[in-house]
Amino acid sequence: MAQTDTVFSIVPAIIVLVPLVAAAAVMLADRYRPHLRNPAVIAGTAIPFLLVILMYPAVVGGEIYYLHLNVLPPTGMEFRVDTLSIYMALLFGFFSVVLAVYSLGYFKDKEEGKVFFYFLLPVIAGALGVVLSGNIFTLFLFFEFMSLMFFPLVTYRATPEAQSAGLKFFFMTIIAGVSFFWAMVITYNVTGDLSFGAGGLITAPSPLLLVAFICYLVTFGIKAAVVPLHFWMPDAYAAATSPAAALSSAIMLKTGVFGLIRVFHDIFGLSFIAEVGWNNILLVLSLISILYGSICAFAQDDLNRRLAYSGIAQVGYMLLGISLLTSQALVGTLYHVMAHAFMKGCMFLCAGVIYVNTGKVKISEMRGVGMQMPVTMLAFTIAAVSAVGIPPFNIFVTKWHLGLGAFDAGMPVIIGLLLLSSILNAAYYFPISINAFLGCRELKNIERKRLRLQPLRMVPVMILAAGAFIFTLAPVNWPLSLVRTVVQIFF
Amino acid sequence: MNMVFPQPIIAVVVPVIGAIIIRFLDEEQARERHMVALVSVGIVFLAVAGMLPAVLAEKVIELRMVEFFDGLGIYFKIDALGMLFGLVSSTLWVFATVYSIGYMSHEHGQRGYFVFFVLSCSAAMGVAFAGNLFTLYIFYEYLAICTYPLVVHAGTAEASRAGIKYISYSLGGGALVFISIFMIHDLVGTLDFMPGGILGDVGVGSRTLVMVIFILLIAGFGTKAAIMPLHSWLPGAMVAPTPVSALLHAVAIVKAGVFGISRVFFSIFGRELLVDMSMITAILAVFVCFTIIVGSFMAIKQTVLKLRLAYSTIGQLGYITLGVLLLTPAGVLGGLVHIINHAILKITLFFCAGMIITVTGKKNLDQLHGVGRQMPLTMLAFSIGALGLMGVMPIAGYISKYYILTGSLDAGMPVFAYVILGSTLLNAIYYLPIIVNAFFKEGEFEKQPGYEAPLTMLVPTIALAVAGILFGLFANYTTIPFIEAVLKTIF
Repeated sequence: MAQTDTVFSIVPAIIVLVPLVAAAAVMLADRYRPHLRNPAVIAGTAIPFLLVILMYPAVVGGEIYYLHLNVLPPTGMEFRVDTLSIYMALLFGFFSVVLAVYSLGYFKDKEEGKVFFYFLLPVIAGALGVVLSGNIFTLFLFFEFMSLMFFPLVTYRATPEAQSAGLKFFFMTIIAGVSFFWAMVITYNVTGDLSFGAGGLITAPSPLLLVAFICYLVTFGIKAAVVPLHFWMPDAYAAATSPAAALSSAIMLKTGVFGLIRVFHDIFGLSFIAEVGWNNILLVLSLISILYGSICAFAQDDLNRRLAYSGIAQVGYMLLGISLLTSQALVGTLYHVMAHAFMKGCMFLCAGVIYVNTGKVKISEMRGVGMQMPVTMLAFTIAAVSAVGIPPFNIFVTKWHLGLGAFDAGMPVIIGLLLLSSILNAAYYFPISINAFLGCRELKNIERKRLRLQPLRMVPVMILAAGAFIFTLAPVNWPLSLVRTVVQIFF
Repeated sequence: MNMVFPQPIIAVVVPVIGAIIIRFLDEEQARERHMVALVSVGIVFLAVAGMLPAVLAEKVIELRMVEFFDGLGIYFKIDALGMLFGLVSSTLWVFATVYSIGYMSHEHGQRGYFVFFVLSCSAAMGVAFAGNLFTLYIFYEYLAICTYPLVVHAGTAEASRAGIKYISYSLGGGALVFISIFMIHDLVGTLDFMPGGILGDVGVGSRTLVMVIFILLIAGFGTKAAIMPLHSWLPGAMVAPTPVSALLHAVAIVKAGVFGISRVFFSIFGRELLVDMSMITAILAVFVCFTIIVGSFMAIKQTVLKLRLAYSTIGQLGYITLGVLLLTPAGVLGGLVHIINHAILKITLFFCAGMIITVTGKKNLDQLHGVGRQMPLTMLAFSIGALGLMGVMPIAGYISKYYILTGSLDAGMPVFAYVILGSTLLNAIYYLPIIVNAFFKEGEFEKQPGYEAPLTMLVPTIALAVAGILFGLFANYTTIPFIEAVLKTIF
């Protein structure tokens, strides 16, 4: 516990407020000054990111930014920025800028993309609020807000599939909300406190607390799409637009993982969980997710669906790292939060570029698409190689730490499972790339003309692809060292 | 300290005068009629609000009007509980009057409508400020009688059937209260409400008699509170014009029922006696839980918007009664605060239903697909109301739910919490499709920006929706201190 200084600051509240104000500004701009819309979107995502960067040195230096507002009974709204918050906020800030730029390019027609930004910005505000909140009550507020604001993005295409996917998502959100609420009421009733930072509030087990624990698992499990609560996700991703799917994958899903870390370490406390062994519930679920997601991904022909099932397996890694309760495993989880966001974000953006340029969503139709869009498919291939976990790429670092963590926890069997999952990853990702580049040989009338690159779409794709290896090749792996600092809060 | 204020008389008498003036205006004098109606309910509101500081300072305002014999007489005594009902009703009466002006402008028989609309305000104030059971009974019957013409206003055969049902249930319930008045007077010789109850000192020998009184009073007031199986008048009464449904059937009449139950609980029986008679309160709790669940299921089955709202009201009234029944501070707080929160949110929903009827003439849910494109503001207000009743933060409804859940934990009966949580999911099932279909389904509505209901209807609705959010965010400064003042007289 290196951190001691607590500083009163309104910056966290401003970070959450800026995207909301920007959303209002975008609405007004659409109505009165259309040329100001794009700057408003960029400002709404870039300003929070800059503010997070400004807080970064002080927070890593051991200060905690704190704010308590006496609204929202019973506990009040609390912001608290520790190193875990700053790490997640940096990621979210960065990805929101990238996704906002990409979305501006994705919707060529201004009218078509108009409403998208009214909801994109609030989702970002909610996600930032989740990671900056200082008690579980505030976290709940932003978590619900984020989910509700994401709902119109699921149904954005207004097709019947999108509607049914949206309704499913909406119900899952309400179920998550109800179970979260109940868990919170029990926790508050037992402990009289919901704040983070005490390293665990609960001392003695009771059946009611087990109910609360399971409710927390259900809540965040729905958002993180852990099996058996995953079924909303493939439908939602297949129906939603690519930027929305990327947003969900790179940002929203991570709030579920983040929530579970807070529940394990700040609500229940490490020693308590280890004593009662409730982490084994999550352990089993995460292993099932890894296998189930990988196997189901094979069967999908829709690219977004394959990515969604692969996402279920990837989330399994993160939850595995949480449930092993060792510091190395948690390093693996947190590193994977970053690595997965780059990897999966890149893949969804590529899928979006393919869709916008060619209208193709099925993998079987994508033969030879690499001839038309070599840069896109190259980026996709880099992300795919990273996903498999080949050494110079990000996810190798994840798997290394998860393996170490499993070893520390006395479960070396899990290392074998990680290897198996890598093989499965390779087996369902590589054929996509291979077909895209080489599949055209079998086809006679393939369109070989290259398509013009569009900077607003391609720059985000390339940045995310570069993220798959840039940190591991750098002299100091900066995210890894930051993650190691973060983990010191808990171990 | 007891003080003499003229306000209770003003609140009860001014609407009567207003109603008489309206009666003697011509049918054509619409402007004058609206003015008189608004001024009289406005005066009532100011008179009630003027007593608020004194009540919050724990002063008791009393006014003994006439005494017939044996302690039977009209007697006003304003404590915090009466203030709760009085303030909520008189405030919403002002909103509903403004709304009625817009809604009724194309209907027949406006004069008669406003006469009784204003007259019932007087009855509701009498119920709120009654200082003994006799006065409560008189005004309770008076309320039923002067709302009867409003229910049958449409003049159709269906309306008159619903009217007969309504009046027979109301008078039947009143008769049960009347019988219990005899018994209580016989037993303790007084009917005046006392903070700790008046039946507390009765010996154990007359416990059977006390139980009979309990059953009579609960059945009497439970009719208005729509506790199953005494609920069937409420859906029938939805044939009334929408402002009447909104005000009387979501706010004034049904709340008079739950207010009557709370009054009987805390001023006639007293908390200690009720704790002693835990068997009979448990039986009542079973009925209430049944009401909550079955009411929600029946709401799912409804295909007419107003009927769905009516059944939802039945379930929500169950929350209030259940909270009060828990007899723990948190539970009672939750139940009583839900009187306010449910009033605001449900009246918003009814107002939205009324605006949809006014603008499009459509009542059935399957005709409302895509209505959100034409009336975005209306459906936005509707979404706030619906999400609020589901308990989504930061809209006011979550506060009631939080306290009722906590109350059930405090009472050691988490089973009631599961009833509430289950009904929340049912709420989601019947509200969410309305919202989703309104915004995302193709219907016969065109995108016609600016085609909303007239301002006299839109402004009160939007104001109430905003109030719903503000009462959630700032409950610490508004509703909760107020209800805590009520709790001081109970615990």
